[in-house]
Amino acid sequence: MSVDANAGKHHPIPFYRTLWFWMAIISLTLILGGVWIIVSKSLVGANMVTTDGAIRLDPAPVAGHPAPDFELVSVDGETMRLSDFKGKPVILNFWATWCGPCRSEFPEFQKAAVDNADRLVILGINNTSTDNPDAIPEFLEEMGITFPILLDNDREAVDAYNVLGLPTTIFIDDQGVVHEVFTGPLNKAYIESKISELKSDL
Amino acid sequence: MMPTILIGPIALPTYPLFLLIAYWVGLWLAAVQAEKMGIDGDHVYNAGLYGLIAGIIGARLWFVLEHWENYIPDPMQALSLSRSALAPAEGAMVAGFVVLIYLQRNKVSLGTFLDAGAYGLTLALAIANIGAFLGGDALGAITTVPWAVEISGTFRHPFQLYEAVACVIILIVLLLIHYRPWPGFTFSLFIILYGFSRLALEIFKARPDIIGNGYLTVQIVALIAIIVALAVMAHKFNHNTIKSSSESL
Repeated sequence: MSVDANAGKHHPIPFYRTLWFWMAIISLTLILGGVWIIVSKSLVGANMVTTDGAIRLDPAPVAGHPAPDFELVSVDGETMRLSDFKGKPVILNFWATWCGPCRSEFPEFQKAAVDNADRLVILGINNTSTDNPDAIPEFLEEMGITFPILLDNDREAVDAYNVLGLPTTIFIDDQGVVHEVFTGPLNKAYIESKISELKSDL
Repeated sequence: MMPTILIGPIALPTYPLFLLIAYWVGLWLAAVQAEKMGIDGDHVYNAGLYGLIAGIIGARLWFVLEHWENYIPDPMQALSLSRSALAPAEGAMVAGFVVLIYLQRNKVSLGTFLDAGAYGLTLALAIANIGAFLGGDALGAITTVPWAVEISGTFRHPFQLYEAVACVIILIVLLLIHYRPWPGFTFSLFIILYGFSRLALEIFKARPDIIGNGYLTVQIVALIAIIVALAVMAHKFNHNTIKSSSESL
């Protein structure tokens, strides 16, 4: 398709082939888009940021939200709350004795717990409502687990974290904010890689 | 939320499953459109497959190199088949690079390939958004609208479904417009329409990424992308451009 150089002299150029049309469209888009971005900021963005610069959101088991709190009793009979550990990164690992992949990843968590004992908390949360409580101490001894194991008899934490598959691992940073939710087995190299992301420099 | 789909004793993770479906259905539609534009549909499937493989390897390699010190004690852990340990954005870059090389070696026009790909991408985004909604990997803003969905006790905007609907509308618009004056036109149109949808819908997320003191990152990226696409259109449609460089574009 060749355009006759003289065509423009006889026929007016269609509006969409003129520069002024496109300049107008681009200017209009920039102005309206810019206004909308500023409106959105006042609608959404400004409400999310508190005066001290922190993000304000409701607790939810989703990355970026504050981690839902819970209170459970450990196998040693000690009552623990998630909020007790604020200031340190926390990894929650939901597991059960009948869960094969949980068994395969447990030694990896044990090694990570030992190697990072001074800077990290790992909590194993047993899905007790689906598990045989008598099998748990034997299982822990066999695997040589020393990090705290909490018993979730009434699905308090399981429901708060919407756990539907095992193992599920929740990475929580030192500010108490959920960093990542992962369903499926993990290895130590990955756990170690995540730990460095869980510490803020504030 | 329905993070897993139970089929008998097997629990399939919903979101990854939908991503897989989105990938194949998207490739199929792109291949169909490519045939109409005179490109062999096999080029689409090949580019898609090479892109996927390169993307996964690239994403894992990037993650491992970034955290290399953690992989020194047991380097074999880098080969884990788990969905963990991936750097998605960097993987996508590697995938894009490999697709570019494939297209160049097989003398496929990038503009036409992107035009065909725009249809597949829009359909894939629609399916992926439904999967993201069911998987519940992000929450919508709290609301009282009648169609709000209840997620662990709070009523929220099903914002991924809004995005899915927007993608379906964009797909219908693209399918209805048969006008394609130059290679890259359909893709530019897709960028503009999809850009506007993201600009509009980002406010329904509970936790959009923000920069500065509260500007929504996606909106700023979307506006820049729209302006770039409009500038491409302005350049291609300008009568002076068409006169001076006719067919080669």
